[in-house]
Amino acid sequence: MTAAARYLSDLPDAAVTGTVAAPVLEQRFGRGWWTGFLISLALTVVMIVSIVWLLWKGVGVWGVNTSNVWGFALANYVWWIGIGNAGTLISSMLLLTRQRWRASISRFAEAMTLFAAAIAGLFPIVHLGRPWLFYWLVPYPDTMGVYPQWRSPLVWDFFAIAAYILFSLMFWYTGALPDFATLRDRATTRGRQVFYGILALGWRNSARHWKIYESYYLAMAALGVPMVVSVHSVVGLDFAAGLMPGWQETIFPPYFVVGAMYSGFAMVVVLAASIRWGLGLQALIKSAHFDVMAKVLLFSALVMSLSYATEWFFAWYSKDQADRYLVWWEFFGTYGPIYITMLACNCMIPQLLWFRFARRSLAWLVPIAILINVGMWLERILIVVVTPARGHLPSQWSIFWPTIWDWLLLAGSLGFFALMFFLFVRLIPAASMHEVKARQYEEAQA
Amino acid sequence: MSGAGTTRRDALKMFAAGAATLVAGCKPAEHISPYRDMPEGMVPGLPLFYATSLPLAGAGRGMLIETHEGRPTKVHGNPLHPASLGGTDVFAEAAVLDLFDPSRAGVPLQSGKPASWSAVDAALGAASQKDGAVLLTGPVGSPTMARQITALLKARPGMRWVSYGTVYPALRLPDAQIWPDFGQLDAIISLGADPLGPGPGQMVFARQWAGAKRDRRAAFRAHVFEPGPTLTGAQAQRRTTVRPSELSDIAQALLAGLDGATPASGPVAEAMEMLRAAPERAAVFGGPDLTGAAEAAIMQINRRLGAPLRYLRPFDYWEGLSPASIDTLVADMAAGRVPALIALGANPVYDLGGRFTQALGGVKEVLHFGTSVNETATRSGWHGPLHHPLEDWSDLRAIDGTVGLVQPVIAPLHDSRSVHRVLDAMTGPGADPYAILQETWRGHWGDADFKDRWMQALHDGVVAGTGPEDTTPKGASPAAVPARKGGEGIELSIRPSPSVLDGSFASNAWLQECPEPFTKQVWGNALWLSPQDADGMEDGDLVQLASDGAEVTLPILIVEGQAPQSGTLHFGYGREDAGPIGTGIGQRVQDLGSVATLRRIEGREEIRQVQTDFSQHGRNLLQTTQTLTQSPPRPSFYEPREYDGYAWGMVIDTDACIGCNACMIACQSENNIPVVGPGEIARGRNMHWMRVDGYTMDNGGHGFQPVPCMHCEEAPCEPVCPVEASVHDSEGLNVQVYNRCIGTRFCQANCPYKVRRFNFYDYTDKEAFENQGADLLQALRNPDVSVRSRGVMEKCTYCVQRISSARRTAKKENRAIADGEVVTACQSACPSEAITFGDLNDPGSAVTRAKQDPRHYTLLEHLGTRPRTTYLARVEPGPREEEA
Repeated sequence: MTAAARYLSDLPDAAVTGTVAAPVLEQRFGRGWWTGFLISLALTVVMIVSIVWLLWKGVGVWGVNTSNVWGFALANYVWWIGIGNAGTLISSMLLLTRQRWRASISRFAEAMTLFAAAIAGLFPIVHLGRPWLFYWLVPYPDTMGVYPQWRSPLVWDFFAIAAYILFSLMFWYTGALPDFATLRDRATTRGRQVFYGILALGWRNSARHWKIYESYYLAMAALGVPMVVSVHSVVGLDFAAGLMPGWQETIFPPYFVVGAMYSGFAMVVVLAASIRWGLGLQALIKSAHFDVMAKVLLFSALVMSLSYATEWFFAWYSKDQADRYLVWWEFFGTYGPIYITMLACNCMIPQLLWFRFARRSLAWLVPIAILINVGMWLERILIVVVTPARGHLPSQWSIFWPTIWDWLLLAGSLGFFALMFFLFVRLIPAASMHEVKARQYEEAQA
Repeated sequence: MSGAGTTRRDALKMFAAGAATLVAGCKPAEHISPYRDMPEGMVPGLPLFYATSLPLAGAGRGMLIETHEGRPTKVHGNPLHPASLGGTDVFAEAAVLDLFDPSRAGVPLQSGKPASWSAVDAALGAASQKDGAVLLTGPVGSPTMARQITALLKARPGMRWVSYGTVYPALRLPDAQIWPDFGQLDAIISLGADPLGPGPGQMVFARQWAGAKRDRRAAFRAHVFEPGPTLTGAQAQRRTTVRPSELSDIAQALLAGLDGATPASGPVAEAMEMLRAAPERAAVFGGPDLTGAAEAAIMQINRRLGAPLRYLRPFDYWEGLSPASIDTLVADMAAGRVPALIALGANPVYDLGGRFTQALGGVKEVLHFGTSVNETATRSGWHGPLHHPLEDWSDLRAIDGTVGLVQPVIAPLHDSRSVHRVLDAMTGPGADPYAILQETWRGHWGDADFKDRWMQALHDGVVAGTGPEDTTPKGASPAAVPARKGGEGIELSIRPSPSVLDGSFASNAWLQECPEPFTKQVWGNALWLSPQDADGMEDGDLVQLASDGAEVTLPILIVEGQAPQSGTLHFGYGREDAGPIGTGIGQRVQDLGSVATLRRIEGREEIRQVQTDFSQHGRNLLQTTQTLTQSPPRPSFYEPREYDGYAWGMVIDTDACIGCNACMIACQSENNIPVVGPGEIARGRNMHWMRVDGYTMDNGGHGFQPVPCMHCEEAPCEPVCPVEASVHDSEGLNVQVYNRCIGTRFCQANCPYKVRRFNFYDYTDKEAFENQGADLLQALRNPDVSVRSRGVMEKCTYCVQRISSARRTAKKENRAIADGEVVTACQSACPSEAITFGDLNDPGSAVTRAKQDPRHYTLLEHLGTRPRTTYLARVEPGPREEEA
């Protein structure tokens, strides 16, 4: 038995297929699913209402002001895109580095990426003063001869997000082709056969299919790694390309990539625990999975702590009064308590993961992961609002306080994310059956 | 068709009859010219300028009104007028908004219901004939009005004329206007006087003060003793905070010092030394908080110093015409001895408060005439709307005595009448104001060359041959102003608001949103307390002030530079009937006495400020000659840009800036900038392209730094805009393309100067504050400047429309734009000429010379943005004086 064996189920192949396919095919979703679905549906309505109200009235409905122009919208964008990081990381980076444990969690992690990136992509559009003109960032042949302004990180951002969403969608969908075929074949009603038949794109499990599939999938994975790094680096550049204290820092691109991985993995932990419980996938998602993800979290926490310390050090080392004041103000200013909370969530609490019990017990790990997500959201908020609140000219310092519409859109986006997940578990196999079986076969051969 | 109803045929007949009546009932036909006979000199698309005078507290300030196709859009200073000298103040700049104010009175009212002017005339005629009837006005600065009142009183012997004032010009004695010769003054000691503060003298005093400072920098010194910060105190080289009651003692101490006594306190001894060191070149200015005895002492000091001061006849003094006292009137009204009261252009119910309002119950017939339906109008049986000065013919004396003609620049917008016609209607048919005005001047000039003189006076805005007339002040009787009471509580200094003056501008949204210079408070007033007196309270905590039976609850603001045990209040707030803009803004404070008890009460009120942090945090932003740091330009990876044609640049002299905000309102008027209202201000939003930052200086003083767009060579806003809405033009302007902007706000996020302004809502139209989106206000817009829609970023353009206009003119004449040909709105408004603008490629231009000034520096130079807008440092006295 190899080291990878502890991530594999003890089930025979047929049982693996049965465990994953049964919830989708038998549709035994009870009161729990419906409750969650209706709550998230209600929150989705809240999101739609808050977006319609925003479009109707203007971005003035938010708490943004003359100096503090971005507020929640950009913070939520960075946070969601960060969450959207882990799925692709798990799929491509772990595939390329032959981390076998990815097999049972990759499907829903990729789904998470897709949903989170889609939601993230929404924020930069709705945050515009004139959102209906967002397509001006696209270099289309305009009769006026105008083009996007290529020096702007927002243009890079537009391309990075668009490419990332397209990539995530393709990678996720094509990765599920063999499983769709399985569902098609096992479906008992005509409707399901047609539905999954169309999704399966004529997958026949032939050796030729598998050969093309394997090389395609590996190539996509190789594309995915630079993609995931670039998208978060560009998000970091949105700030780092600026001239403002607290933003103009060369550390931002790597710091954003790690931050994204951090919040993304934390979200995967939360979702893995929920799905395992909800769909009864204890056999497939094992303690060992949580253990290894907790180690990733711990490593990220250390890198994040180091990044914060680097920011403080360079503020001091630069001798720049604006930078130094900003760091002082982060701790002791208006947002001080939030900053301290953020440090506790992102740096202190994850230190518990040095201990095996915290890594393997969901009662410990899930709350820690949720706190990490809270901490990372606070970090995004602080990055966006602290700098303009304490910029170069004291006369223009102004604090951002969110309005009800800021909160409603955030809550609504969480609800929409949950809604997508509730639909996902009903319609699509939550774990990659073919990959788990392939790993088990490899293990058996070894 | 049967029954008792009207038949179709009858109905048509009645329609026809009604239509005929409507036609016949129209205004009497006037001669109008179709636009194909255009006014002489008019070119469609080019503005016309008319010289006129605008009243402030009754005194005239000469202005040029820019009109586009008959719509007045902008007020400029009249360089020929001695009270303007080409500059403006906030009130003049905002006059066009007053004209188009949607809440202005439209029709005559009888008990609040629309009435006809003929009914008003009848009531007015009847009221004026009653024995004991009273005509109540504000200060009268119009020679024609004075002539009419004289004639009226002659024709109606039973009538009395009462006049009262709320705001007096600075340096005003009861019977004389002090007129300093700043060219001859080296040392000024001010005891609470605020010549640079709001009022009809602000522009001329600011111009002369700045000139004296610039021309005789080594010699010119001012030492201001005052309870709370004033604009004059901020400009002074030395400032000492004292309680208001101490001011009178200082006057006496200075007088005693001249006699050889040694003043006790350090600052007073220092002031004494200043006076001694500059014989015949020193003067003492007295303020409104002095006792009569102290005023007399100051006059004596100035006489003995041989101070270069003239005493001029006040603008509202008329030979053979003396108003009765307002106190007697109130007593008579209360006793029922006044059968009819005609309030003409005044708002005594608000200005005089409760005692007047109570007494008003004893008056049977009250008629009010004014431009708006205010507190007095709603308590009057009759209200007649008056023309705005921009719709009227009149004449006005400036505070130095020069008379300027007032001419209409637009036909009356409403069914209003001239004040002259109303006066005339009491005894006669109500003649045309044009005829009444001409009659006055025909009386002065005779018929001979009347037409030429008339046209010249209209053209210049100044009547030749009028001007300062010396007078000999009798000197205040020591009993005139009683000594301030001591005792419990804090001493109050109650001053007119720098934004809404005495409340007469309360319905003007530009002015309500014009920040108070020291606290940057907008849309309201507060009690200023020194940090010592705050006693644990914070800005916005509510206190109750009680004195003389009046109680006022309002929030506090802690102000560095406020004397301990004293407080400063601004009146002009707490209006009850000032339209949707001014009603209920701030608290009425003018009923309070000079000493009040202060009681902290539960609760807070959010204070709307556009700046809350006044410390420089050691960043040396508002540099002084003591802290000046100049470094060679930082190296850049980018090739320096080359500009073949013009390279526009601006230099702002922070030493000359008095912080009056005229530039802000001028910019607002020129560039169609909307107001956002108190709610939006509270959310941290505002739209002013030009702002005046205030900072506490190291020596405890207060400095001002006007901040327009910096137009950086390496503008941080440009590379971050994803759609190229923020771009550099061929003349170095950093321009914003509104219709390309999609509103990412990245430019403002990355602007270190935070000069960009975002339309979070549709502030100019659908989401306009209160009535500021009214159709009538469309007429106010500058047609050369786009009105911005929701969701786009905007900012200072260096008045690019004026640059374009100058370029067109120059091209037509096949020449280059001359230096001084392009004047930005802020520059032209500035009464102290602190702003220089021009072509940096022209080695001889004023702005190029200013850039070579040893005081020249760049704001946030270390960022490498290389702004086109730069500054001249404040001149601070050396440390030796500071220690003293």
